[in-house]
Amino acid sequence: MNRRTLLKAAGMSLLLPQLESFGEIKGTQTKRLLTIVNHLSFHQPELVPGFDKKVKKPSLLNSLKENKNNLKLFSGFDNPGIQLGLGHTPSVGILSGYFNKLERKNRISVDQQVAEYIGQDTRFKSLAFQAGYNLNFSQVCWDKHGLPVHQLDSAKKIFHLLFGIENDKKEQQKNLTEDKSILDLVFKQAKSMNKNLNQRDRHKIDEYFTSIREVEEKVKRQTYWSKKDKPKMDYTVPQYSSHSVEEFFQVMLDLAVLAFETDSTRTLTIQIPFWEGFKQPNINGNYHDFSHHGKKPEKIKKLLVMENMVLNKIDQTMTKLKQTSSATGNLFDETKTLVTAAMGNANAHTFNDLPALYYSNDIKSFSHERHEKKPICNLYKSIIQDFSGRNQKFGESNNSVELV
Amino acid sequence: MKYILLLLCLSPLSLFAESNIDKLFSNYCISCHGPDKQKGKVRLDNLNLASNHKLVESLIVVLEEKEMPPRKKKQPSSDLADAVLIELQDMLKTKKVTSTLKRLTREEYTNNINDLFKTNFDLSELLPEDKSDHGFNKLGEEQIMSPHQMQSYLKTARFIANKLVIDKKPKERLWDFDVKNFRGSKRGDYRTEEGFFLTTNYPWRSNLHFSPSKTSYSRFVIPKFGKYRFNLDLTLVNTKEDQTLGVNLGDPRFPTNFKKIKRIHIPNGTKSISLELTLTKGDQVSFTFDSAKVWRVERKPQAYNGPKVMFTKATITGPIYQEWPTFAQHLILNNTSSNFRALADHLCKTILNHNLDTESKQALYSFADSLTKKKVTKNNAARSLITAILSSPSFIFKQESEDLKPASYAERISYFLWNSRPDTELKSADLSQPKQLRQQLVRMLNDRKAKRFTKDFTRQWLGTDKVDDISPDERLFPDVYPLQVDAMSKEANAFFTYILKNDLNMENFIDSNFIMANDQLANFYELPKVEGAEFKKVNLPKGHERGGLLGQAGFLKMTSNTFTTSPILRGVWIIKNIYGEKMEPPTGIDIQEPDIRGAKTIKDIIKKHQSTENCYRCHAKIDPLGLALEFYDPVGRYRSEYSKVEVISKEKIKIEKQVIDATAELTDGRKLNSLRTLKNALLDDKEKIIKGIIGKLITYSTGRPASLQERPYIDDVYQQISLNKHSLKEAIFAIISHESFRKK
Repeated sequence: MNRRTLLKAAGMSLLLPQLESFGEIKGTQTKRLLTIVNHLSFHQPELVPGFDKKVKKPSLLNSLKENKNNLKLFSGFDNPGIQLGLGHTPSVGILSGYFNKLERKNRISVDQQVAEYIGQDTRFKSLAFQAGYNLNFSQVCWDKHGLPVHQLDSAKKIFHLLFGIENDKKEQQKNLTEDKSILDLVFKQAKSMNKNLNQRDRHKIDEYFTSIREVEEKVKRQTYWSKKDKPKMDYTVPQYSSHSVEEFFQVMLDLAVLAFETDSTRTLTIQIPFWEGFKQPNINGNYHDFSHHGKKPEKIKKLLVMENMVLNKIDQTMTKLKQTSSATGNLFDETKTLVTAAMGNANAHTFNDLPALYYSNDIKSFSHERHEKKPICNLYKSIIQDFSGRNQKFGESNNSVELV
Repeated sequence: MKYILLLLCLSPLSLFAESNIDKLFSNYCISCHGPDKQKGKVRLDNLNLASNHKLVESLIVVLEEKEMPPRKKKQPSSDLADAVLIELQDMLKTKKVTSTLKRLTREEYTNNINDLFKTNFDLSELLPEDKSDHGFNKLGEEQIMSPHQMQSYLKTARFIANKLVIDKKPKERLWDFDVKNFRGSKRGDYRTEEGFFLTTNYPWRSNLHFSPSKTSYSRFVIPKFGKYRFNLDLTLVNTKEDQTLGVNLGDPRFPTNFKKIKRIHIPNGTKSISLELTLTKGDQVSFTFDSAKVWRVERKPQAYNGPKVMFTKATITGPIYQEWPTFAQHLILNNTSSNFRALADHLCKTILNHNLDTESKQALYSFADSLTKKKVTKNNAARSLITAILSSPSFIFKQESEDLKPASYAERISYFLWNSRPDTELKSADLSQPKQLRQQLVRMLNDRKAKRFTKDFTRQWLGTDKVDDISPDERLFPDVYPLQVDAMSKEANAFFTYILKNDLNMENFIDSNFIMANDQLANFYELPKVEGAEFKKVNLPKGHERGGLLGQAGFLKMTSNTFTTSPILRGVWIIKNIYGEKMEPPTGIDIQEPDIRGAKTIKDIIKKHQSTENCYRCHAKIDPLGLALEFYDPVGRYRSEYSKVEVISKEKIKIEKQVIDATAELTDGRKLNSLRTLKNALLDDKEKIIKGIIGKLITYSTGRPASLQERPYIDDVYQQISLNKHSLKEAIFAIISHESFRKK
């Protein structure tokens, strides 16, 4: 048992500069999670074998052919924790397995739960991107308190966070130092206040202590990293059309790979949010409208152009991860990729029968597994277990899922 | 010692002789709630009741309401049941439950700052919202403390400190915009040589925002925090009526996320308007045509010949500082000493309501000393100290001892009636003197700060902020307008305020011969015309049904779905909010509200509920209350038949008419078939309902849930106001003058 675990056990991990331990875990494989959510879902007859008996070869699978051997396809998942919602709104619960219209808060999402385990040693505990400006129904990342995690939709801002140089570094340093001493001060004051409280109120103040400590950690992380130069990257944000789903998504995927390559974070989530009008060289129109195809073949054809594009880009990104070397091999070896859809059927706004794709180096050949009416939290639970080693319930989960 | 003895006597399986509770449990309960079976996950053998207050409370309710044992099973004698009830109630008295440590809510925090520094901060973007699942966000147990909350405190405190203490008076600027600088969405707005026109009430289609450039789409963004004056030249077109504009914050490319900060009444004939807004760096302001008659125009907006607003010119000036130094700056830096410990003392005295204990003060001093050591300027020191003090537990938490000290007593009254800190007059009054207390109550209720109480209390009590959670379907309700929905959400507050101000009977909450309405609402209810957006008293014609809370469209609408009403949601709302009873959704049952369009199905559902014992316990109470309201449609309008809806396409729906059957029977046999008969039934339960409302007020003001433990307190208040026609105002006086109000 090393010093850190000992102190952690004593509930004192916060008194230790968290990042002293940077690089401590040698020899073990770095693990990363890339999560991609497509709000408008995928047309499942063309994705899931056997979904529609009449479809002999689902065409969307063609777009995934380069890395198909490392892919496992899931289908049929339910999302039973979604309640009281209409239209697109419940989509915010895709990664948390929860939504209640009457509550402003949600529950922790799978990516953030994984970040709780693997987010300690990087500049960012996690990052969340959005490939589109539309902010409607688009919050999918929720922290452990059920509060929204900021999703970045500006490539420029992301680039600045990852590689940019702080403009008012002095002011930032000053505020961080001040934060530190104020946290120290209020901790002392709360301690002194604690003496006059009854047991129940002490419990309440305990939450305050915990919060102070968590923020201390955050400030420590920021301070630690604010002194370190950001990685230098031979990359400039390309001019891209924010009206093109394709270009927007591509930039976000590129930035995600860069964030992993520079080990700026180990958990990264990209959402393709609710899109309406868009313009791309090969196709124009209203993506949302395509999704409401009403089973009309000409509309489905347009929808499939978009979905093939999305899946193709994901496939290419997997290839890119394989081509990018890391400390122990290549980035793909380190990275698990989860692709989900916020709806099962965007044509009818349903939140059951959800598909999911899972990429992992441990997968050696393509397979499809149907989990009819089983909560999607089963999949999330198993992914979390893969990262944490702990067999714990997540949301509505009632079983495990074989990830390989 | 006494307490331990009592505990031993009352604990069911103690070594003493078998108690009444044991007798009841072993003969009537254990077979279903014991070692063999645990129906509803309740087990009543081998437990220490004295330490389980919540269970004792549930047992009392279940026995009082004769909900258990089930009707079909063997029943205990009424002597035994009564004896058990007394024993259980005594058990509650043995231990006084105090309120849990409370922190400031977002509203309290904001009001505190604004009252103290005479500012106009809106901190809703900085501080997280306080949620309250089971009542009021003023209850300690409801309040979340989280890292995010803590970090928000730091961020908010620094934001405030930086805005209060400014080194140099910011330079005022003027931006001049003409039609070429106006931008919109191009779907329901358009531009001509003459002006820029808004036609619809849907912000996606009609909104006006500004670009500093005449040619590009770059948007005007507020450059610096401060007060800004907007002057707009405009003309109302194609209308002889007054209109309403909305002022919104947010990215105009995504109007769904607009935050409405103001509505401006535009009298017909207006040529220009001027308004002042306190804005933050990065804010974007858009104007919307909230009183427009349509949400979208059929063809080109140019061709639309309904009411429009035409804008011709706009200027924005700011940031404006009318006085310099500001009141806050003066208050903060008033003390001329350059000693930072003295500055810290001064700021503590200014900001905190209580003195710091020695250790806390010492800690603050050493923080001040570190500032001295760093040789920072006095302004910088003031900013740092304010940031620290506003983040400290002494500011964030309310400090209350078992018996409230006079300062905490004043504070509790003030957070109740003003939702903010007490002012100097309240602090210096001798509130133990009933006469002075009454004077203060009258003064406080007459102050405009009392609006914060009525708004915050009615919002949380009745859920008035949820009225527009589900928007009326435009296809089914093409003639329901945003301003009407807005008026619906304000009606309950206006009603409550009128009853309070005019010393009226709380019975009015059940039924009244008047309502409060503005122009929109009077029109919606088809009552005689009311002028203006302000709410006024409207006397109802004899026999009119709208009086009381249950006739309000806001309630009827918020308990409905897009196309259909929900008797279940309405019934639950009445039990929770009017009777003040607890009601939780069944656990372990996946409730999916069935499709209840059409009378036949409703009766089927009710039958289903009544036939299953599990559902029956609650639904026998819930369903009849809601069913009686079936003559009111999903937006709260009277209807004579159901409209069963089938969605054909985005634009088209098919409507089939069906007969309404609103007959229902309460558990005690009283028959209902309309809002009128429902209100009569509720009037029979007047005492219970008024006590329920008193309980809500007690919970809101003391932070103690109105559990059975508070019964004597509630009974005393009720007794006292019975002499005063159950006046709401007297109830509040009785609440704050009662000794229980001064207990933590």
